[in-house]
Amino acid sequence: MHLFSLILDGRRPPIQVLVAQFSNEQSIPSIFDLIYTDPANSRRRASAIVLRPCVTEHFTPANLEAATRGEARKPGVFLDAVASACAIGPQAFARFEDIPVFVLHSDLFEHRLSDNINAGASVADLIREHLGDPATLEAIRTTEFNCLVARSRALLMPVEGSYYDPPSHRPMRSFLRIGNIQYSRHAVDAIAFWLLPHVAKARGILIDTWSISSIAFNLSRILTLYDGRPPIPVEMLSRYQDRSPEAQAMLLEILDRLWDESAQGEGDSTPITCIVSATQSGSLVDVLKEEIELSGLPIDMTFVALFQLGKTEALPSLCDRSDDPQFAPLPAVSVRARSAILIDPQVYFPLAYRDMEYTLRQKHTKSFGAFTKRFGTEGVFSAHRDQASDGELRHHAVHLDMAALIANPTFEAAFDAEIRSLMPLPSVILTPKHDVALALGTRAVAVVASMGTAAVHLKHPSLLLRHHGPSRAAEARIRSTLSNLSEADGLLILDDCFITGDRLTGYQMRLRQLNVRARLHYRVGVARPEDMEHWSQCRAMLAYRNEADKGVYQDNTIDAIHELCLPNWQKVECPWCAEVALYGRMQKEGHELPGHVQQRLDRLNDRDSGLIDDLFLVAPTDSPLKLYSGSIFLPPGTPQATVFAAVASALQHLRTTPSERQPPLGPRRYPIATVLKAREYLKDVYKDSILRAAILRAGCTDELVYMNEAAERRRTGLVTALVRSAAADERDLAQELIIAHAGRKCRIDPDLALDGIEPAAARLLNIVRALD
Amino acid sequence: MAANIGIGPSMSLAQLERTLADLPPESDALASVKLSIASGRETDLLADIWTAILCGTLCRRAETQVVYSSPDEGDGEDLRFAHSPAGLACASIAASIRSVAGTPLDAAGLRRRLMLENDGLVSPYSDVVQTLVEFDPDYPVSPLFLRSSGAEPAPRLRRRLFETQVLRFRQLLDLGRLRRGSGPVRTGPAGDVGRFLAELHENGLEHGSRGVTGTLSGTRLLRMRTHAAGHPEDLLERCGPFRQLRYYVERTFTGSDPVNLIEASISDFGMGIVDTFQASPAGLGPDVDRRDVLEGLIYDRLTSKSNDPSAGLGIQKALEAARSMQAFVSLRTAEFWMAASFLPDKPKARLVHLGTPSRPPVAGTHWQIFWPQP
Repeated sequence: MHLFSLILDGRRPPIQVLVAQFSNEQSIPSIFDLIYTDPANSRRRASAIVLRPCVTEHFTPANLEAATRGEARKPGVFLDAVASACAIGPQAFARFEDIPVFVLHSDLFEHRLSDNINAGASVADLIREHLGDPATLEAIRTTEFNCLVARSRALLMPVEGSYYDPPSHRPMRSFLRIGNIQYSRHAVDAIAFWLLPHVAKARGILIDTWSISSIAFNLSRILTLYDGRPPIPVEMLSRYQDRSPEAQAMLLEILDRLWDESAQGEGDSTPITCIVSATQSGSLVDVLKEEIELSGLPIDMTFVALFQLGKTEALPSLCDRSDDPQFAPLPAVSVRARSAILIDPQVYFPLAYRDMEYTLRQKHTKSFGAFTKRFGTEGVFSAHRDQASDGELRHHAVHLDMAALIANPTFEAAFDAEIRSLMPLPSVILTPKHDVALALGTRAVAVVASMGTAAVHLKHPSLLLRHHGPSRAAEARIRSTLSNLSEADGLLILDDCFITGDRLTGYQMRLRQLNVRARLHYRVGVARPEDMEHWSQCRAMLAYRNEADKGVYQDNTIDAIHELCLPNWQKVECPWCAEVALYGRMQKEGHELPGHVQQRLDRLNDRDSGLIDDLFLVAPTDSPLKLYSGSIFLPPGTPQATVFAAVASALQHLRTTPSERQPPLGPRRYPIATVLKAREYLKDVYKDSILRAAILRAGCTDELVYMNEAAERRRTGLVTALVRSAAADERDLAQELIIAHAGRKCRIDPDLALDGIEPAAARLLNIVRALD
Repeated sequence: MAANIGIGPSMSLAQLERTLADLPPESDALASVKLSIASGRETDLLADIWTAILCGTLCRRAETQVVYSSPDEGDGEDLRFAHSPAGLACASIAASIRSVAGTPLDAAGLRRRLMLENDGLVSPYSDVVQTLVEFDPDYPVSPLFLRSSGAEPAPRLRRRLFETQVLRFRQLLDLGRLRRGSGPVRTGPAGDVGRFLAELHENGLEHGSRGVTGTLSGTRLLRMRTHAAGHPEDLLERCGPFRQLRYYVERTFTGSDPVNLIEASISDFGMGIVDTFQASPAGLGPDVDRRDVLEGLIYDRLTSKSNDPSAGLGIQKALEAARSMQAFVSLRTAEFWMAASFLPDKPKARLVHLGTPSRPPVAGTHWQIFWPQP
């Protein structure tokens, strides 16, 4: 399904909105089910949902309103679905019973955003103002285009010391390969939706490059379905318009053909829309106007660019990124100091990958080091562990045991001090109902009581307070308590962890719905987002108070006892779940697992206790891997799980900390491959097997494997040397290297003879090679 | 304390319920129990599922030594028991399993063979009964629902694969396919059975494998079976004491032609939906009537995923699918047995409790659905 979210920040505070594309085979309940099961969306942080019908369906606001009331109206699949849902009532909207639902639709080539169609949900003034803002349509459009760029990896990132040399030969820091955004039917339909106002009268379409031809042909098809016009012709410029005689001759030929097919014998000026993939200066507009004049053809050409990458008034655009520093012009002096990455003028691609190497340094370990310095290295971290809480069972590749942490005396002291510092002290404390949150709530009540204030402890996981069901009486009491708070009161909202912010933003939205005016203090034990920037954004959103509530306090407060950047890896990304899958594959293909591997599988199948000092596979004759002295990460003897968490945290910093010099570590973004420098973790710098194993587990394939064949061959040499090493402190890594080889994170030389290596490693490698 | 419990051949549903009532209560500390199972021709619909419920319940309460026997001695005898719902339930939670002649059954080997060689399909070629089995904790997801690398796919894809498997089962079991010239399809009312079973299968995977302190060893089953009869009267006899099912069959098959009723069952032998919910942070505490809790879980969106305001609709969605199929639905869990007939004249039917004040408690959650094959 096609789904994206955006933050509307035209008013304070900003709100998050989820936009979903409706398909004609769906119903309103079924699209809500799809949103519910979509793994990548942020539905729980959404204050409103926007549904968009199929691009070929258009209707007036009156048609939509009639559908919601079950009255006679224009026929249409989406309108029928709305009518059916509204006839069923709350059950059809049950997945999002208290979230207002708006419709983004076209009305004879005009875009409109409807009122709320979910009768069961009230629309707070703030949401109404945001959605009613004329700038909201533009915000949705821009976000959708940026989303298409991100999902299709259309943006070729800046490369240190280089610039892109595109067909126009204007040096660029980044290159946007627009053709990529046509990656799905939903994507080209979405683009067609936003192009509709620009093609209302068009009898022909001209595009500046073949690479967006799917968009143009789809648009022609859609217009036929939209208003019944005959399919309109599509033409494309087959080369960059450099004003050369060849280009000029070809352009005239194209214009002749396009006019001939579009005009259909009529004598009037023929309206043709020119869709430009991306514009820097708008120069193509002048070129085309000159050529039309030269041709003497009665063509009335209008222009629209999909992306605007430089300042120009020459044509409108659907996504203006001219303020994006990635597209800022490069000064000539800077260009001279850089090497060019040539963009092929035919395929619009660079011709080769470049590897950028990254090194782990002490600065990347500081944040984790601060945590262990404060709370110690033991008893808190484990790996590959299921956690039952008040939501669905979650699997954590890196598990932070908050129950253990909140019993740590340092944590207790910091927590108590934090509660004592709240201004005003809370008269109500709200927590979820899981054990750790309840314990924190109880402690906070006691701290507040020690200062002479009695606080009520409310326990609710979401603050969605229903009027039916066995909990209705208890929920009515919560509603009453919260509604009675004044703007001078304090309300403490407490949870153990911040990872995505779903819970806190859900609380915030419903506190707004309940019109709670108290000063809100949001506190979490540990903020452990994947990206510290996300934590900063949430803090800013949660701190905002409505203008009407600013009489006593200007803002709400939000803080954590400790902040730590960690990957939020669940089953799909968990290296140990991948190891279980590998053993399952071996068994399925008829291989008997060696004894120590079978024991390992049994251990890994226990996801309840978590791995602490048995994260890494070693031969039966070897001791568990351990950290020796002198590491930049942690002191010797630190549990394996803490070492792994430290390495994972350091890599996560490399993935998320912005830098002007280089893109973040992560998946390959053509033409850049970001890789950890192999010599560092396989030979020169990190010599402890435990660190090498942790890097191999915590690094993703794209972050470890070089695209350059020679560099990767050298890495294979380093890996193979370790596998066949006779030294005990290198040989103990062999099993982990074989697991990494099976997971395609590295390669062991296929010519390595099995009789030259340790027997347990030989047996395992033999099976892994059979699977290759 | 030790005990001997027997399940005789051809026991009816009523007899099995009585045996459940006679089981030692959970509070009794039993060192071990010997459970003798004599298999024979089944009389009542669902008798084999109830036998599994009985076995699973006993195995959860005490260390159970299972001894099976059959009037048909032969080479395939161990497989006959092992592949029955009762045998599959015992394969993950019985202390030991052996034949009456003393031959032990290698339960770990059976689990491994079924999952690695058969992808969890118990009798892949049968046109009468199809069973898909999953074992916690070692084989929690059938390879049919895994990616080729062995990794678990996203829940939405897993659900789609599950629904496709249900369709395959229906195709295998569809006796009238040739006569009608068309086989089962994913769309239409009967296509909703995939949705019904998928919702409950997901529930079983999420909640049926968890104990208070972590993952439980256990079996989860999807079983589909045809019940063909030359005359509706024959089918009515096999409903035994299950009055509500008998009523459904009477109302559904009004002629005198041969009939075919399809049964699908989803079973797990975990804590059951009521106790799983009550043990979660969302639990309502011991003062709330357990019957209200169960009805809340079915109709009022009570859910242990209480931090997610969009959750808690799975059972309602399943029942909507059953309603559009005009099916019969039964639920046995803990001390409850509920059923509903979604007949055309009762579109708003709800699950009602069978028996008062309560039934003997059972382990796990067991859903059954019946609908006529066209």
